[in-house]
Amino acid sequence: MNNDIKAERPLFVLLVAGIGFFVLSFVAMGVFPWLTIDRIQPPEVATNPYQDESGNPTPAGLGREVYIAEGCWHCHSQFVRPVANEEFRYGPRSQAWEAMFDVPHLYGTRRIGPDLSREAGRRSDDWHLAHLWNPRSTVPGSLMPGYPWLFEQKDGRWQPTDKALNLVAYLQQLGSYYREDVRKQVWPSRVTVSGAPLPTELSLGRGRALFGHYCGGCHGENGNGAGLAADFLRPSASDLTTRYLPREEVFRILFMGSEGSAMPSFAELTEKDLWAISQYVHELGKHNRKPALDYAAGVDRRERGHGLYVKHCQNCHGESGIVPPAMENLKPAPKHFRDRLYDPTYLVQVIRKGRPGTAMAGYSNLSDRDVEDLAAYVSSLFDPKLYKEE
Amino acid sequence: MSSVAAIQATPTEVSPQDAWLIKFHITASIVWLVIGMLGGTLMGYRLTSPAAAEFLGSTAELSFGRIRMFHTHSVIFGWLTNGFLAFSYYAIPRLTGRKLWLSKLARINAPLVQIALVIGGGAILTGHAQAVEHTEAPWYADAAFALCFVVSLLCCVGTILRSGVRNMYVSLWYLVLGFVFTALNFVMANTIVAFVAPGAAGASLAGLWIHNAVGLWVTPMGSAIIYYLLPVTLRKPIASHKLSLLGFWTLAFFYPLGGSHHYFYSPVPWWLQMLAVPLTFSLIFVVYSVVYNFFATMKGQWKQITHNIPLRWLAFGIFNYITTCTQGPFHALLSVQQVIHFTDWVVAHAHLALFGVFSWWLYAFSYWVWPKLTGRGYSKALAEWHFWITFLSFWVLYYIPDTIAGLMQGFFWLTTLPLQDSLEAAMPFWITRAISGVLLVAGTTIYVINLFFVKQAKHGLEVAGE
Repeated sequence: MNNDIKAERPLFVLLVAGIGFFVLSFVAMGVFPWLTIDRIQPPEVATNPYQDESGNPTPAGLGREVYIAEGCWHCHSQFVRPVANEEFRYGPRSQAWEAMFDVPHLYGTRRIGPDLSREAGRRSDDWHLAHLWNPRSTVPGSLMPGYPWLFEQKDGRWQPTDKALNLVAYLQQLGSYYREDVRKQVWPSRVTVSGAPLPTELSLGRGRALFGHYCGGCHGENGNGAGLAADFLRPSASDLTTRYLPREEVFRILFMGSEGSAMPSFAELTEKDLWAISQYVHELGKHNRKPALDYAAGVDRRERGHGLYVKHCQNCHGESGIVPPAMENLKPAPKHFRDRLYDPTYLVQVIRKGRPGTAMAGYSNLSDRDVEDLAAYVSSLFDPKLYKEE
Repeated sequence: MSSVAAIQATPTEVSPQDAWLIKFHITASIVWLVIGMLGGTLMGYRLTSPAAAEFLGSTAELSFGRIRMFHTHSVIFGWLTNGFLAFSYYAIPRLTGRKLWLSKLARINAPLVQIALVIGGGAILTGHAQAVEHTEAPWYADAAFALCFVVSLLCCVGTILRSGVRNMYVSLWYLVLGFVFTALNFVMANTIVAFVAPGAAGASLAGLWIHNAVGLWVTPMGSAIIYYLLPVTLRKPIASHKLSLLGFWTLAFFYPLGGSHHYFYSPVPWWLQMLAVPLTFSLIFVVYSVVYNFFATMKGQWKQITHNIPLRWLAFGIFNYITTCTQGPFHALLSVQQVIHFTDWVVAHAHLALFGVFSWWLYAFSYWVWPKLTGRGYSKALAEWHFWITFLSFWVLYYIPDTIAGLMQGFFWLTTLPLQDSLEAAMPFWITRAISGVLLVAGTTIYVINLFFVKQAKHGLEVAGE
């Protein structure tokens, strides 16, 4: 029998296949790559985001622990591939040095939700908190689990615990070196549009469906601002039934988003869908146009209002309600009054109480008459000729 | 010596102690299987609609992310590993003609393995997981499991080395390789990947671990089972001993080195990724040589699968093996990667391998060995139900739809449409997947009833494989 082959002997198999090939692959897949990566110099800004100088964990470092314990990395990858449109969708491709402080690494092998390696500055903290508490509150069609145990009910509303805040700190740190690149990509600085379809060319049903799909979580199914996310959003989601918005203005907001608030840009939707949503939102507040214009015409003290406006509002909202370019840098930016009308009651209330989460402070020391005059003046800034109603 | 003749020539009786040991591991494996499947089904259901995503949503311990880790923990370590240990303890004395070395230690070790796994699973569910894919249990559970694993290694490999067998039968090569490589790989993953290697270096080593948890633990153990059971159930030797030698050594050499294909297009050094392409693709030759051997052995015996239950699981497992192992090499092509990476295609592929192949070969082993150990048969009718429910629901409702879901996702991501659209495109297929989960649990329930609760005389029916 010539079957005394070395390759069948126990010790040979053990030493060569079991140990030898393991060591070989460890060297090939561990030692060599490790040495190669060490020679890749990180930019000077790269400091350990998970520890402060004295070695204590930062909020981002603590948040990373929550991220690991909840298995977030099983549905959210953390590297952008240079292929398959990913640079367009997420931002600049990933570099080896970016993960140099990640032990263990969190690249991940599966995406049910989006990649998170370019998350810094993409969305507001509010958005993240609402989304973590219940993902359906910001993305109604989301299949992500909620994490209510990272929140507690206090003073009648849901509030984040430290764990939730740390987790958001971690998310807002992911890819922070590319924050500016991502910001330019996520928040378009101007609207590009090929033309506005006629209202008759749009399906209001499609608009309603899309609204429920993308907007309902924050703005509420009926658009009244009372969505699931209400507890978390500062500024709160706009009550779309209290304002007249020309559909071009809605389109602009949808396209550009409102940086500094939880309102993201929806520029990735098709133009026709954006118009359909715009039309629907426009219809939600259409009824405010006539009362608001009547109100502006009815209060016969617009001169006084103008004086108050110059004194209190013009700095931010600009002359004639056209926000000066410098003020667009406020996040969220002040409103243009030429392109919108408000339900007078709502306007009065905002002037009195301000808008928490924005630079708009309340003017509680103004008299009722002052506030009314101001509201009337603001309403008169709308340009009905620019936005005709059929 | 190296053919099935070796198996037949040493008809060592199973001692009552060994029978207890093997039955214990099989029972434990089936308990983990049921738990793991329930976890998988829960996840599957939660992906069927936004409302379903909130099912049991306020219980942190049952959260999707934690169950995701618990599921793989249960099935890889609980179900497959316990099953493989049972097989090793059964086959090694038979193939070496020696009693199991340190068999008392093995019996003490058996419940300790379960304790280590329960600690690990409990830690994952209570939010103490570590971020190393496929070994998410924290370090203390890993240390406990590693100790238990080394004890099993000593008993199994020790018996082989001490037996003085110079030319081992094929199954033994695979067992030695699986135990030794995996002990090293497991410890490496839970020390170097978990605590030392940063970022991209960690990812390339994680590739070594993830890939070879499947490639050099599950695959060689599964191969050992089929190389043993196929000749034994057919009562004829394996077709080509030389071919099995080729299949073994090429697997041992090529398989470990391709692991970085789990991180294609990542910041892992490009030369390593490029190396993974030919090495992974070459596996197609490895696999086809092995499969050819199985087919050549089956030649003329196919009619037996109609009445021989273990053989049927083996044969259908081989078909799944061909399918999944034909997919695998093509996954290494970068153009394919661009579309399928990160998608459900990979999930379907992984289930075809770990469930469709290796779990089915374990089914075959348990159906074959259980009557021998207990002296009691099982109901043929229930076994048929188990097979057909499992086979049909897995292929028709899980594997094919989930593969399509993966393609939907991959091609949606190539467009500029919102990511959300890719979820909606996948949802119809996820619904059938959830249904298959329920059916697979039902099938497994039948399996459990059949093995443990049906009182049937061993000789009262055709006990397959006898």
